[in-house]
Amino acid sequence: MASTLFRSIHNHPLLLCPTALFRRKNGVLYCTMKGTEAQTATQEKQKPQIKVPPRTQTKTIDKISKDYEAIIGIETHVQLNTLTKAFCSCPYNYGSLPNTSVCPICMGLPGALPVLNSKVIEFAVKVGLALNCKLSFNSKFDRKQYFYPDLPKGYQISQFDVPIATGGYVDVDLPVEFGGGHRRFGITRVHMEEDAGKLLHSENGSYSEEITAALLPKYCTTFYCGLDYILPFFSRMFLDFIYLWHCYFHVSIRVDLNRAGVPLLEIVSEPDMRTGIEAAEYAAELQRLVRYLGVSNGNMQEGSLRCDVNVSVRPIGQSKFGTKVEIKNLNSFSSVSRSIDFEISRQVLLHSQGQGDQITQETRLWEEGAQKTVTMRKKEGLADYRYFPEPDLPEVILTKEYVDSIHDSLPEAPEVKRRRYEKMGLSMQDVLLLANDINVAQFFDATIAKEADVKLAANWIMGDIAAYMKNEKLTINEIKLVPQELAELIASIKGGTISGKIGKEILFELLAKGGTVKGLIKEKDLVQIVDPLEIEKMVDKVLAENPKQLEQYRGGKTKLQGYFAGQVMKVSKGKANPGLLNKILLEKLNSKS
Amino acid sequence: MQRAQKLAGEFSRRQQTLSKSLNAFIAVADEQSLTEAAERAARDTPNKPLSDTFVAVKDNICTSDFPTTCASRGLTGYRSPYDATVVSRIRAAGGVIAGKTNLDEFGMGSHSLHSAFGPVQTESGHSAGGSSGGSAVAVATDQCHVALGTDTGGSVRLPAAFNSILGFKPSYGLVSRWGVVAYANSLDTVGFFAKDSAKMKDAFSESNGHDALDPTSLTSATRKRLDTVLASRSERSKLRFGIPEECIIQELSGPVRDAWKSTLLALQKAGHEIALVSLPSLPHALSAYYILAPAEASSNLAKYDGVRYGQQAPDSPHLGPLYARTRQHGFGTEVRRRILLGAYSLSANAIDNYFMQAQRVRRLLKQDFDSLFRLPNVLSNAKNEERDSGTIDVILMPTSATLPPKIDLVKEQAPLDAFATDVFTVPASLAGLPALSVPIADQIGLQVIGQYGDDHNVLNIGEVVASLKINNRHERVANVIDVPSRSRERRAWRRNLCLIADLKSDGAQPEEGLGQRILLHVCKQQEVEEVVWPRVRHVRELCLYVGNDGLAGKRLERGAVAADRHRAVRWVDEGQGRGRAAGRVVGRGVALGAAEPEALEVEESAARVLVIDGNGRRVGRVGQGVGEGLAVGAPASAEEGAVRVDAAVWAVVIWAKVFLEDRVLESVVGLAEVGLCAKAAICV
Ligand SMILES: [Zn+2]
Repeated sequence: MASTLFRSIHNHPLLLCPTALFRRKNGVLYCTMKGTEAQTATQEKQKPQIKVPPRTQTKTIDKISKDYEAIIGIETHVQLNTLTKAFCSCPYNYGSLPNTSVCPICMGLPGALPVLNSKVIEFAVKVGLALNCKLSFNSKFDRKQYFYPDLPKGYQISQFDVPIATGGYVDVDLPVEFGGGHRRFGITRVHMEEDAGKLLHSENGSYSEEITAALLPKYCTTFYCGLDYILPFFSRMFLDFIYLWHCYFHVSIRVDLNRAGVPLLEIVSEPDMRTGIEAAEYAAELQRLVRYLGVSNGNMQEGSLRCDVNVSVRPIGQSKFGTKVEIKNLNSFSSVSRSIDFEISRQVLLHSQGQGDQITQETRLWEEGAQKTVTMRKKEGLADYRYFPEPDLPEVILTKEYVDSIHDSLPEAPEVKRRRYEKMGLSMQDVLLLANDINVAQFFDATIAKEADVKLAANWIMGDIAAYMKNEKLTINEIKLVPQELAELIASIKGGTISGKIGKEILFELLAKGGTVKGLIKEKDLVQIVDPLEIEKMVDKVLAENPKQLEQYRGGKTKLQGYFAGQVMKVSKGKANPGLLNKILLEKLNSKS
Repeated sequence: MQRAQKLAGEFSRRQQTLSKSLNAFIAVADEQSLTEAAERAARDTPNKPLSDTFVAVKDNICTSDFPTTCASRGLTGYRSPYDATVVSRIRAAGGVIAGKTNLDEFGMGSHSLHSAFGPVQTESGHSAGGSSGGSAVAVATDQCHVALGTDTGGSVRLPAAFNSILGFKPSYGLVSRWGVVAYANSLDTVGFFAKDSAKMKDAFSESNGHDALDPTSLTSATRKRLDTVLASRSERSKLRFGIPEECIIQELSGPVRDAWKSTLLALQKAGHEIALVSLPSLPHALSAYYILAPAEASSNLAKYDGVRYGQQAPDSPHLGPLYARTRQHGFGTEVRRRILLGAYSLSANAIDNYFMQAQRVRRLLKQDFDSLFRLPNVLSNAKNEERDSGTIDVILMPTSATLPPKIDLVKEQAPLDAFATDVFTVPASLAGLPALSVPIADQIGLQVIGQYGDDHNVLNIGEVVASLKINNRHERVANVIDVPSRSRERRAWRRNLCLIADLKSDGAQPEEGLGQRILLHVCKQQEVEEVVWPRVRHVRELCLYVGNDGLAGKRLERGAVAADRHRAVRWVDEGQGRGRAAGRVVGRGVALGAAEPEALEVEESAARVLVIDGNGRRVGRVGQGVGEGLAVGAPASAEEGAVRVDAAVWAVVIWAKVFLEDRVLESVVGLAEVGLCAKAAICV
């Protein structure tokens, strides 16, 4: 968990793909020759680097890319962490044994009927409100129909024409290392739906489950009953794909339905983003938001937060959108950012070479190893999911009181927090780091609520405490230190009761074992010595014990002052006030010269 | 205990004897297990309302101790891990499950012939009705006391009528659907068969109750409200029966009409009131039903892909073809037909024209029904005070327009005609109302339809109807129709003209048209002048069967056009042939049939077209429009351009082509084009 606490603030030196060279024309964001390793909540292992392309080419692209603009929109699926699934009472835990958390409803057995888990509505309303959306007081569920073995009912319960929330926005602060800046991205809609199962493959093999699942088309366009008749009438795309896939991998399919029926929110953004960084930051903000709200763990690796990205490129000044390409298999924010930047430069290059028509509407797969996108499947027209209102479920009706009560219970949003921290005088870097994790932010808020110095509290939390958590792989909720004691510690140092050095010692004691600052100071007798007489005594003692050094000092070797200071400090067991000590020491050293 | 053992033995032996000839059951327990089950019930749940009652269960209702196959090859051998709520409730009330009955695959069909386990037979060789035919035959032939069925568009009432027993479809939402394999979720209702009304009431009462597992189950709060509404109703010994004029249709066969008529007369004699009422949306109900039900079905059946249930088709190496093959292999033709239909009507190009229109019709139909009943609908949002209070207690209408056909004939029937069997049963299904089919004569049932939630009353009135002494069918009733002298009564009399006209002709002649439609050929000239003509302004539909003198037709031609623009008649038949050609006024618009292509131009707002050739014969199927749409349908001889289609919404005619001919693909494409191109010319 500690690994998800803080964003990595250092740039990977020259982690380059051509995409990193893309610049925004308006000059807000320059990331040329900078690492594109963006992102936030992950301190991921360093990604395999790829070779720097020939200098000449990058220059060309750099030049050309100024004439083009990328349009990016994101569809995000957020898995809600309700206790039970959306329409049955099965619990869901990531990683449990296949098909251990299933029942007639989520298996789609004949005669079973879905019963809506009201928490799903509550969470959806929370997210809708937090995204500044307009809520639909009368919405409904619809069936989205397609065939796939991981879909036990043959349809997915989703929302089609009346989503629970529409027309919102989210505010984002770009990371300082990428030039910073504030952005507002529109939210088109938020709707509720259920997750599908997972395919398991018995093939001993070359592809992990995740990769194979990502390889599979999530949707298919064809209705298979009476296929022989209709096939020419509909697209054959899906069929061909499956056929090839089967021939090629010789796998037998098994389905794990644990995940089937787990509630999801699909959040669709407006096509408001222009760069990979913006897109990644948007996704990171959603993650932050759902974690703040406590509606999802937002974990990308476990698939609790999934992003499908749409990218198109058009010449600047053109109002018509370019051909849209969808990118899948993005399981970190950095892959979101890098895949988009790669895709933009790929499309820009095609445009600049007059091959813009080669950009087709397709789904591309991000290959983490090769750091590039490859064609997964071409789209042949729009899929027809034959949506219709779910006849088993009543309409979703929200009352004003219900919405108001949820509204009143919402925690402070990340954006509001950031603005508040900013007003406190913290630097943007500090603001972003503190507000990134709600637990850290709450710890910080609790600390300053005890009237701790804002700047010092931020430094302690982001410095020694963060380092400790990282080393010990703990979250801020798992350390023994409580905000009140941190405030006490800061006050003690500031007030001169203890020295900064002692403060650090106490801090590690508190982090590891807990206890109170006062108690530790008392127990270990760590109160700073500020009595000049006492210090003088110690100085005298040290000078008396080191006549040789004293002589040398007085002989002009003034560097030895440090030695004496160290000795006195040692005698005081580190408790002497350093300023006072130096003052007295200097007086004594120089007095008899 | 002894009684239970004795009954178990009797029923089991009877089931064995009849299994070959009637094929009513898909699965039965052998004598020993049935006896054991009966003993267990007698021991565990003694002295309950359903103690010693043997209940057969339609095989699309889940039971843990028998397989649940839905009569589909796709589900062969499937055993549900749980009991349906209704089955648990029956067991808890002391009932013994006597076996699983045969049906049309997944409940799709009207004659119980489309079963993977072979058709249900009857002793007379007539159709058992469907889709719950097995349950009906089981009760009719004393293989059990009570049977559970499911009624989506008449699947309980139709077989009940055909087998001369009671068949009850409760209000939607009263009996839990948990464990009932869905055909069309918004219409599916568990229903009951019995010979004995008391047993029927017990079975229903025990099954009725809120179930948290069914989100469409009526909530306890609404049930309370319903009880209050029912309790506040004033008791009346004399009932008011509504007769929907839209049900008085050409297709009504003689014996059914006679039985209906006699019943009405008997009710009148017993002091009850008969009122002619109107359900303007009713003519569209069937088309709406055959859009909505297959649409939901296509979605519900998607899961039976053979990956999880039943058999995978042999030789299915790849997933895509596997789906296609398994589904073809697993589903019968009727199911495939309806899945195809449903999938089409939900497709992006068609959904607005089909599914959405059908839902609109359904809403209108509910409003139509609500406006008739004295009792308010607890589900409607309108406050009692705001509502135009209706006057009738229940509706009384035939369950089927015809007698059951011979099974051999059904097999030759085009799918469309099979669909039409449901014409009288789907309205109550669409509106979710309680409906009881009461056997009134051999193989003829009349439906008692009540307001939502008025189920017990419907069952009681059913007893009233069943106990009537129905006299000789051919009794002359001229005395009933003396023209009243006072003007107010005379108005009322005119309103009831249809009934009178119908009653007046003694059934010897072919009669056409009732309700606000006016039958002309039985009217004398004077009647046309005095009675019919002034009312042309108000007629909704006019059957113009020109008498031999041709007079009526002529008058109508001029008069009707002048009468009301919206109900204008363009009379194209003038003087043609032997003066017998006829047209039919339709809805607000006009649609007249004739052999000449130009005669088939139809005004945009027409709601129905009947295509009739120069000799007054119907050629080609009647098409019906929904909402603003236009009907399609033309004689086989019509050339391209004969029928103009403006945003057509009715697909029956084209369906016919889809399924009657082998080249299905082209037809589906054609079907798509109807939705796409306004004014496309369709030639059937
Ligand atoms: Zn479940």
